[in-house]
Amino acid sequence: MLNPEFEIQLIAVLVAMACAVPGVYLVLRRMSMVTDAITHTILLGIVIGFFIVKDLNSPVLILGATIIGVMTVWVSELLSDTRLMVEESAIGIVYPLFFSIAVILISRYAGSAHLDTDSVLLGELAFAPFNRYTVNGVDIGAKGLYTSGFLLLLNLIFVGVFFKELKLVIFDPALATIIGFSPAIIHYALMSVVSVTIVGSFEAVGSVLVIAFMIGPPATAYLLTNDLKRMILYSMAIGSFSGIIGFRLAMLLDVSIPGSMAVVVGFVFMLAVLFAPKRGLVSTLLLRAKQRKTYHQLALLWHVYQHEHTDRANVENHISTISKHLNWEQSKIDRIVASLVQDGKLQVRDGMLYNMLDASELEAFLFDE
Amino acid sequence: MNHNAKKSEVAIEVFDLTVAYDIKPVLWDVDILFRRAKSTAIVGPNGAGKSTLIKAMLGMIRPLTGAVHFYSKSGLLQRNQIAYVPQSASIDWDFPITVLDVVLMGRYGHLGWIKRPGKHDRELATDALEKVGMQDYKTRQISELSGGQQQRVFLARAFAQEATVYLMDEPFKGVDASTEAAIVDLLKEIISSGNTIVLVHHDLNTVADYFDELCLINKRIIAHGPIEKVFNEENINRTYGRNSLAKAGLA
Amino acid sequence: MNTKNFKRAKYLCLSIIISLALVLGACGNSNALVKQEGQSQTEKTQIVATTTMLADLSRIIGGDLVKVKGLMGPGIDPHLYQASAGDVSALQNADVVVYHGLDLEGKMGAVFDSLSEMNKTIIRAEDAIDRSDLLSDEEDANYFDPHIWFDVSLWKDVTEHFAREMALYDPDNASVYALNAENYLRELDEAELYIKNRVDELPEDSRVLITAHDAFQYFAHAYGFEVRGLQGISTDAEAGTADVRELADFIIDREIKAIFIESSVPHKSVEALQAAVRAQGFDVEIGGELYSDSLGDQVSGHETYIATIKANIDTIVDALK
Repeated sequence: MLNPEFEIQLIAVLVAMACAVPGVYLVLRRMSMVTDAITHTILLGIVIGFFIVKDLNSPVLILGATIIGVMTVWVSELLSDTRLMVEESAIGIVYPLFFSIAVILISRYAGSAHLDTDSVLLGELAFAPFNRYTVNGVDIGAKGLYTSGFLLLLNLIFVGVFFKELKLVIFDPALATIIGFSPAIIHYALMSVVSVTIVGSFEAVGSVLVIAFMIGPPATAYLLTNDLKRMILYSMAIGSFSGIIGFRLAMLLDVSIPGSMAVVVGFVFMLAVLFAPKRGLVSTLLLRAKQRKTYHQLALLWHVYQHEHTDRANVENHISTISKHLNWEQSKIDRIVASLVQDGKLQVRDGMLYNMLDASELEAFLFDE
Repeated sequence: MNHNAKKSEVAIEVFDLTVAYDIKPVLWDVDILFRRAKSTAIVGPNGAGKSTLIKAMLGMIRPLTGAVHFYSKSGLLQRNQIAYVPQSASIDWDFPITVLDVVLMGRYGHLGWIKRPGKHDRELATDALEKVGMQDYKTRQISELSGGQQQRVFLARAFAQEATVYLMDEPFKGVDASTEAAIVDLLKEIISSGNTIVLVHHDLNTVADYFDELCLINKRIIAHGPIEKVFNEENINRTYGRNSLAKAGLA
Repeated sequence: MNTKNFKRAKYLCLSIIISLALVLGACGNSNALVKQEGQSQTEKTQIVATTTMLADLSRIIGGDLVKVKGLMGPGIDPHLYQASAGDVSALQNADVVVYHGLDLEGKMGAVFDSLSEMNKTIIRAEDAIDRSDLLSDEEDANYFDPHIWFDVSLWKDVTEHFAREMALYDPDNASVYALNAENYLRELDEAELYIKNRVDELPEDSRVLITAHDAFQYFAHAYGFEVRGLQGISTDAEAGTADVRELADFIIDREIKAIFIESSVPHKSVEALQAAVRAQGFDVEIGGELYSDSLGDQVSGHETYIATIKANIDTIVDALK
């Protein structure tokens, strides 16, 4: 067998990439909560499946989980179509409803049977390499490798084939409807893929990591790029990277592997929130500071220009008195005058300020976009 | 209807259209013909059902009664011929998509399922961008554009679609005066090449300058026809309520 | 079209290659960890045991011949157990894996079964018990209560089974395991006697044990107690309001002096039960904390099986007396 540490990382990378692909579309549709909802509502599918076959190891339970996952979205959609609430709130109602029906069913009819998501889906990445496929007694690798590899393939094919349709339906459902691409069909196909991905990845890595991988990397990539294809690639890369770094961190500190991976996903997202080139907090603050300076400069220039040729010019435009008229502190006046002089937009002669820009140039600056 | 037209002159026919969002209809029994190679402004107060009429014509809302025919045929067959310029507020401007990508969407209807846009589609999209003077913004993300530029991109998408009917929802909203003039020129060009425009408009001051026909609605059709016949105080008052000219901003 | 598809494919391959490279790079230094197989016969036998009870048993029977790693720590509810990164290499390097079975470990159990195909010896406590000794659920005859360790006589079966399996795994030292087991069985006899003596201190109608979940069926069955639990056998199920009311009435009716909290189950529901009883004007005490799904920790001094079950019976008898 392969080294289990290697297998864990490989599974994590495959699951991260598989989750990132549909995750991008969930983030763009502002439907991140769906993943949280589905990881819980699948319990209902498991319970119903169990009532039908009375066997915890039957694949019917996993099928039930997947169907309920899609149903969660479907019922939420029906509810939001009534226009009584927005989609996120509808999910917020359907998810606890389905989950509590499952809990009630368990406590009423299966109080004793040890029936919960953990007993059907392994959900523990640490043990994934020990959960193996054997054919005729020959070990052919961890089950998690096969499920996650299959999911990745499925999702890449789905997005590869329907890339144009997904983009159109999410960006402009109205146009999609008009030119004959049914948003409903694409949407339910996407949600089925999401549901299958969640159930399949749940088995391999557990619920926390499924949510982290499906939403974290796409949300991070969203801050880093303006291109949909890059957003998908970045999400896959960020998820894989977080998985590997998270694993090494877990080995170092001897803590939960999925937990540590999810922490890295969150940490990478925080870094992006702070330092993303265009949408990050730091660059936004820098940009705003720069804009503030520009507008202060323009305000001062406009004031100088307005009063330049009036008889009050010597009062309005003198460096020692202008602070009163603009209601700015003298230090600010000095700072902005200095920067304008440096740019050659203003001159100071005998304490008097002179606008160096063309009138039309200045107006263009101020009043055009 | 208040004016007769030959079949060949008609681009869109709306029959007995009643539209309801929940139970109570917001548009009552609308019958209207939009003539080919004409621009028609749909004007009315807030909540009059202007956008609803456009959406119902596009098949985005299922009507309670009635039907819409384009070129005397049921809508579905004619879809590629119909271009829609959405209201600016309904677009997610932060979506990771470039100007060229948006315009290429105009080609999707011609491509059908699964097939990707090719060289020919790219050329048509680029031509469309040139037509609206946005060729230099091809690779920009759409949030980096001003309101006027955004509107022009969606017009370019309509051009790329090679549509013959243009339905627009307030294309002048949030647009500065010079862009408005540029868009009006484009609209006139569309009309002169034999295409049809129906748009929701809110500014009574410019109606007479910009459009050929006027449709006044307030939950039903109040008046419809050539500007010179329809655009009068009596009709405006009937649409907006008594003495509403001042209210509507037309002194 | 073609160039674009090609470009897309290129992107994809690139990202996959980069990811794989990262994984491989990350693995390079951990390879050393696995190169320990084959030395086990001369070195100590590496045993991984799931519960604290089984880890204790493994240490006692294996003695100096084994090195034991328990996966679940003291006070951990087996249903809520989260593996840590170190558990992976522990399992990988293990010669013998000991687990409880009877669904106590959930889906993990199935994983452990498949470890036997990786040349690891698997010992299941479940196999030690005769089916007829297992208590099945009233509603579902296929489901057995896993809490067998509360009946010392059953734990003796587990001890014998474990020693036999160890002897099969390591025949050279079979006599050592047999001797250790023999000694330990004697200690278990003493512990059993201690429990019976302490129970005799209680009048028969006071022998009622009320706790948060139904972990004490085997205890009750072996030592003549009546037990009532707020929850079902699994700690996942929440207590219903009707359960609380019914149990409160029962406590008042039977004038029960004390109810008990458990080390690995949240205390809230038992406290709610106490409040429900007090609201009806009857005072019931919380008799103390019982060890249910794990042994005590080193601080408590109850880190062995025998110390734990003795602590439990002391808590029960002292509170109900």
